[in-house]
Amino acid sequence: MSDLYEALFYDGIQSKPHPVYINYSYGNVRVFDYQNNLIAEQVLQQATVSETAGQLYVYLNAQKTSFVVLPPAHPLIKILQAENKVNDSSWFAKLMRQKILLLASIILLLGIGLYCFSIFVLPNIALALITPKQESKIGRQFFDAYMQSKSIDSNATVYLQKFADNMHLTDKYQLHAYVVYDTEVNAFALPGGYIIVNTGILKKMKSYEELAALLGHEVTHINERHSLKSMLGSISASIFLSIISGDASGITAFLVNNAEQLRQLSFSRKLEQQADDASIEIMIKNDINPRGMISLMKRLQEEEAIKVPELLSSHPLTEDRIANAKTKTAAFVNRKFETRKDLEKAWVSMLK
Amino acid sequence: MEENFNPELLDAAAELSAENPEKSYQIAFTGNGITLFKISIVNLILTIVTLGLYYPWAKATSLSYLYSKSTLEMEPFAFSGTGKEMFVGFIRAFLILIGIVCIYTYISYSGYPFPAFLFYITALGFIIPFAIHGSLKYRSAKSSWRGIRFGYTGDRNELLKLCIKGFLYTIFSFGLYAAWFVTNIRQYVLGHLKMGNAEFEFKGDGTDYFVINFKGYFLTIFTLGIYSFWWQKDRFQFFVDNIRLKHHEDKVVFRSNATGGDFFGLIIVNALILFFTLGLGFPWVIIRNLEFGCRHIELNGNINLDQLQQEQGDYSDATGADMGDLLDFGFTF
Ligand SMILES: [Zn+2]
Repeated sequence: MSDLYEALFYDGIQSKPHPVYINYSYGNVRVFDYQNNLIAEQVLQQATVSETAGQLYVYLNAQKTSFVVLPPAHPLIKILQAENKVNDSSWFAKLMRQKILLLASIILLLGIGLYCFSIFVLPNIALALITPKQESKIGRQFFDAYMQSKSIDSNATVYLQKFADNMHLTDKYQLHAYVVYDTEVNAFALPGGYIIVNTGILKKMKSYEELAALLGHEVTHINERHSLKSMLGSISASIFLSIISGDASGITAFLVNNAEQLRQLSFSRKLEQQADDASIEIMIKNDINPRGMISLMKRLQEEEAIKVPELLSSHPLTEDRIANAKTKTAAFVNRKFETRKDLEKAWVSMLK
Repeated sequence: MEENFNPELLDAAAELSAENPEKSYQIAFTGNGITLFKISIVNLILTIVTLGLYYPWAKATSLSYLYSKSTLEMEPFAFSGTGKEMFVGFIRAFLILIGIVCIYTYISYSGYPFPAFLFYITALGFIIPFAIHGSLKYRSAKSSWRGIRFGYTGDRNELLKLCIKGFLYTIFSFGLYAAWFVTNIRQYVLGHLKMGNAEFEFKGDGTDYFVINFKGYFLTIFTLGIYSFWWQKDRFQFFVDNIRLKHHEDKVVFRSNATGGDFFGLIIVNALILFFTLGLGFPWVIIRNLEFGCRHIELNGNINLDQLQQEQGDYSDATGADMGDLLDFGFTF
């Protein structure tokens, strides 16, 4: 039927090769010794074919101990290689036939996709799974840890809590507002309803409208779950990074890391503006002059002129925020707001 | 196994060997960076798409490629491990490690952090030799040349004893014993490595290795790091020059001809490749390292490589090998 070709055969018993005849027909590789006895055979699909230095190796068994070697330019080499290619329908073989540029683009797309997934989708899935109740528990743990090194101004805290309760800031969470002895001009929110206001910022403020602006801002961080979001975001970013750095060198990881920090920075700017805007709305709803936001910002700016506070990192570009607050409150410049007696009373008692 | 052989054949082999002339054997690596790069990219794509499940298959393909391009006397080595075997091993190794971590966490959270720590250390102490042993058995059984399998015949408990002893001595000697520890392990492992019916041997002495490291360490400090390339050369030479392959009365001696300058070139260029390609050039670094190894190891002796007999059985349990992978230490030869 088909021709016999000379080749070398290794039998998997000893390392010495046997000169043999090889025949390929109907997808079968057959090996004959010089007396024309069939000594081995295999379906090409079950064999492993590989090329080294121009010679073709046809491994007949899975252990690769029994095989035929065809010398360079052997007439069967082209045929076997071609048939083997057609037979190999694995994804690996299919992809190996593509151009390197296409493969590189696929990798790039997958990388971007994976990045987007871990930054935008994964945190949101986690966010949806965590209930406000669980969030409060997480916040409580952060709060307890923070309070170990701080002491509470209990008088001011009573009135701050009263002030916050009278503003009806949130339906979703139980709000806990605390005043803490700390000269730093700062205030922040923890997930699940904790607001911490330093005595330092309280003393800088000149009116209850400014405090209302501050609370409106911080409660928005809580209502919109900002700190939980950024926490989940940085957790999944670090998971992504650990995957990346497992396969790429330090430099790629370094680049991704820096990109990630930039992203977080712009993320936090976006959130700050969102909190400012929502705070203005809360003030209007509460019949409080929203221009309290502008004066609060100016206090921050005065403080910045003295030293660069830590607040700067989380509340960047006060100048821009003042401009934004001015635009958002422009419609209320000439409007009269009644003094909220309840808030003013709490505010005055707080400062005693 | 011995009784399977025709005694006449053995006698004939013994007779022949006495007359085998001294010769040098050629080893070479002919893989190329582009192909390895392509294999790595395709593997990476499939690994990402399958959320990592493809990893064992990826490993099998890149190993088969690297083996098939490594040649001894113009004939390639072959790697016959499969993704499936390594996948099963991977799952087992993973479950074992998870089990250990769970038990550790449980004991620790029950209020016994110190016993938990002891348990953890002991478990790892057992697992590392287990992983080395398993890796050696699997990797060697799946490696062959001219159809003749390699094989590792070491005993797991012996290796465990060596490791425990070495570990304790190293701790109590503040690290000084490490040189003897490494040498002893090497001696044991290579002493139980076979290529068909030929046996490897490692003749290195811990004291020599200690001197190399002692000298290397201080000279590297005094020369602000420049000597490190020569230190590297000395270590490479220590590992290579002490290897023998023995077959009946015959042997092959390994010898390194790499110089400190050669190592300087290799390491600096590798670093530049990685730096300027943002790490994408890693396949070329692998290729360069393998080429370097083949170019700078000389084999001389009188073993007739046509006379090797299949003696080592197959071994398909990849748990230990994958455990080594998970714990991230490579043990290759
Ligand atoms: Zn804020």
